[in-house]
Amino acid sequence: MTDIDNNQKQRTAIECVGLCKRYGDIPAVCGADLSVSEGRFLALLGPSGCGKTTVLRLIAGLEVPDRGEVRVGAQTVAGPGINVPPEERKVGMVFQEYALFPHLNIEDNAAYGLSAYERSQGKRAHEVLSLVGLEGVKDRMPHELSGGQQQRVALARALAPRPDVILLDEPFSNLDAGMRVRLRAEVRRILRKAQVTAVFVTHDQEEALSLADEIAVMIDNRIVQTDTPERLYRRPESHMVATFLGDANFLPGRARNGAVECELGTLPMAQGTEGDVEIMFRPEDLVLTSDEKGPGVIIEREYFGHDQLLRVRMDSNTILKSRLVGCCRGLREGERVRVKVDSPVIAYPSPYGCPAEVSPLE
Amino acid sequence: MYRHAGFFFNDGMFIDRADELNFWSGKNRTDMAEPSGQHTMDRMVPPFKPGGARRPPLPLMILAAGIAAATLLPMAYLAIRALESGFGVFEIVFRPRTLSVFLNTAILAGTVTAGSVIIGVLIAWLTVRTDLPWRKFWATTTCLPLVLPSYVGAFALVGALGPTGMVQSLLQPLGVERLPSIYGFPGAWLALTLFTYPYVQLSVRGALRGLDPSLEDAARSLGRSAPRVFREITLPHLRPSIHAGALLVVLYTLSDFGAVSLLQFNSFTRAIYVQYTSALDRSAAAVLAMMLVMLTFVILMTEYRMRGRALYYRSSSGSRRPPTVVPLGKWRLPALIFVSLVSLMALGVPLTVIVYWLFRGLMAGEQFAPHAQIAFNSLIVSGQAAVAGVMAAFPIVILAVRHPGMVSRVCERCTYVAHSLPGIAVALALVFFGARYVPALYQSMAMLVFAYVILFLPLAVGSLRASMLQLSPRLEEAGRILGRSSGRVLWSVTFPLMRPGILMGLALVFLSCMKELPATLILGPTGFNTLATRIWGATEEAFFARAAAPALILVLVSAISLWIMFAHEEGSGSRGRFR
Repeated sequence: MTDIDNNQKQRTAIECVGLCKRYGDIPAVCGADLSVSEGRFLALLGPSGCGKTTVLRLIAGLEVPDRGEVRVGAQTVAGPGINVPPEERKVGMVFQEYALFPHLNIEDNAAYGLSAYERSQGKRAHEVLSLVGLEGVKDRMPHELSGGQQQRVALARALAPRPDVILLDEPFSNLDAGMRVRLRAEVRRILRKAQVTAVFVTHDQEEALSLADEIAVMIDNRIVQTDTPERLYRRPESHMVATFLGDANFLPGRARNGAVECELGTLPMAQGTEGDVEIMFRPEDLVLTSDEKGPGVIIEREYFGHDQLLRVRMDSNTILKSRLVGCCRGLREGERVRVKVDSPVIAYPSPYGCPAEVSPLE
Repeated sequence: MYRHAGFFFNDGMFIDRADELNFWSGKNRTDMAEPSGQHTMDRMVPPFKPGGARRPPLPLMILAAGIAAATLLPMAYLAIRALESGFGVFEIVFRPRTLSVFLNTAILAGTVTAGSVIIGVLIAWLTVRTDLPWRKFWATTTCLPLVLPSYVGAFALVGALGPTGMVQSLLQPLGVERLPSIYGFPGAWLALTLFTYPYVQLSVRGALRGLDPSLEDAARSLGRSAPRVFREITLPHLRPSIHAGALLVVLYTLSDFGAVSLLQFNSFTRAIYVQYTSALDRSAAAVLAMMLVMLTFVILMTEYRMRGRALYYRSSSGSRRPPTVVPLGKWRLPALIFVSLVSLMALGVPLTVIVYWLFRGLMAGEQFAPHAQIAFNSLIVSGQAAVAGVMAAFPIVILAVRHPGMVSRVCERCTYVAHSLPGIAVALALVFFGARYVPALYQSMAMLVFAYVILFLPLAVGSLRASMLQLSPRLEEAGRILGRSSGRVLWSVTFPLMRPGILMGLALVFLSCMKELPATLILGPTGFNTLATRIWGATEEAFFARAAAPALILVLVSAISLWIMFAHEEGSGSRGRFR
């Protein structure tokens, strides 16, 4: 991760400016801005139907934007009066359903995007198939392979013409859970080795957090925040992003001089505005201590093995979530506790103006 | 001739709609909003929609619109030609002879439909829901008359019961001088009923088998008697299928030329032909054709308005028990006699007659060499029409499947218009159109091929469409992204994967052309004979032995085409590999 961070001043591989796309009356993408530096992996993360696949298709040239521009490398491939057809964009794509050609064997599939000369040589197809570790099955037909193998063939096929950029649409969604985790690491290794810039679409947070150098969160047809996984999790810029990515506690409060007053006392603030605010902190930042006279009571405990989630009802009726790692430290349902926020909180402008209306959980 | 079978299977009533649903639900996407009908499909975002959001390329749109227009133009011209005679139109429409033709046609269509529905429903019910012995055997043999083109059926009837027919010549030594005449209404009614009831039977059979018996059980448990259950539950479920079958029978009867002309019953098609060949002024033929076209339209429109609800009237396909078997009791023997009689009349007699006259011909030294030339003619012209038809279908299908919308729907619908009209009207329209605007093509093979394409284009469109719907648009997109132009992707991905559909389309158009009679008769170059026109001509002149061999060949051809249709219908659900 660190060497990537050092090379941050690299050239831009993909840039989208103000992309808009509607289907009839239904907006799919509204003003999406996106920039990916060469060699980096960007995850487009969002719930189903938020328009993330449309962004991918706009970059690939499978859809024409209503407004906005797409640049691949130095070339503007879509914009006012410009629409470079997909076959001339030098962009590779791995489809969700893989879209392997069922009438061609694995080798011919991998070679499909090559020039006639390269195809006759057979070297490049061989190369990419060995890159994904599937030389052995080159004479088989697509339906004779497992889902994971098909996925890697699709990847090899997309990489074969040496694209500058590769797009992956929900690349792991058709695989079972165990396979998904194994392939994730595998695909990451292959893409790094091929030294391509990658954009992939997913609705799986874990996948995005573990695989990407950068994540663009897309909600309701808009890209709401683009950041590194760490920053995105620790410093979400809005309530929406905070709830979408991971668990969060919200409380109304009043911010002044870098600190927030709320029902848990005065807390240091990592970032945010002054005045009436809504503060956010992650459940793992809420420390519970057993105390007969504490202001909260544990009302629910969910045990996951490596950690556990506890819900605490405060005497003010606010409910807070706390995630504890490791052993259970003797906390049980019905026990009274003291609470403490262990790290600086994030403050957002209060969404309702009136703090009392904030319903923080769920 | 039985090209309405194509209408049955391809007009989006059964296969197409089902394929569409399979296609969408088969994608198995977790984020799929809701089961998509035609309407929601148009508004959906790209993951659920095969690239339809992009405006279709202009050349494709022009090509498809041109083809659609070409199928409609001659029909439009028929109207112009009919109206050209000015007030003469009224004179023709309202003359008593026209009225009698109209009544003849209406009575024939009504009685044939009634007869077909009764026979068809009865046989379907007997073979699906009762303990009739050898049910499977009867279910098959009673469907087989579908392979007989109506003129072959009429040939069989005349060859058996006509004044110089088989029965007469067998009875002659016994002193029977004359059988009651087969010509006119009784013969036409018998022939058409015997060869159209399978449409009703097949359609009702499907519905009966799809009917969930637990519905009937539920009604029984709620206190209804068996006859009331049949009336209140079973019959409403069968109504759409009876309706669909009856529509096919009506359209078949209206457009049939072979049987009514050979059996000398003066309905529209025969009157049109007589007017066309005998009268100097062809206005009368044009006006009659126009009236027939309008009659067909009225029926189609009525059906279309009634169809809406009926289409989704099918019961769910969950796992269910086999249907309850109704014991026939003392009705077993009458039922058995009934199905045997129908099978005998509709299948046994025609086959016997064909074989009988084949042998008579052989013994009389009938020459078979001319048949080879005629079969070759049929082969060549049908082959050309098949290739042309599939080529013309492609732009329409690509537009309809990959760019769904108003334009593509209109184009696709247009191709069905000529198909649902009587062949003789289409042929006549082409004659007038050709004589006026392209005299060079008049009486040429090209004109005949064009007529075949217009008549049978929907068969090609239907097969190509079904196979293209099974093809994920992602495959074509993958091809584009891998650097090939849309034309090359079409060639290297789409066409190879659509091969089964292409072959099927070729076969269906080819086989339908082989059997086509009225257009061939009217548009064929002078002296040009096909198997169909040979059977017709020889039967009309009572040279039964000369018609036997071509009839046998055509029955085989029809059998193959029927088999292909059924094989396709059954296979259409199970080709998941290409999805």
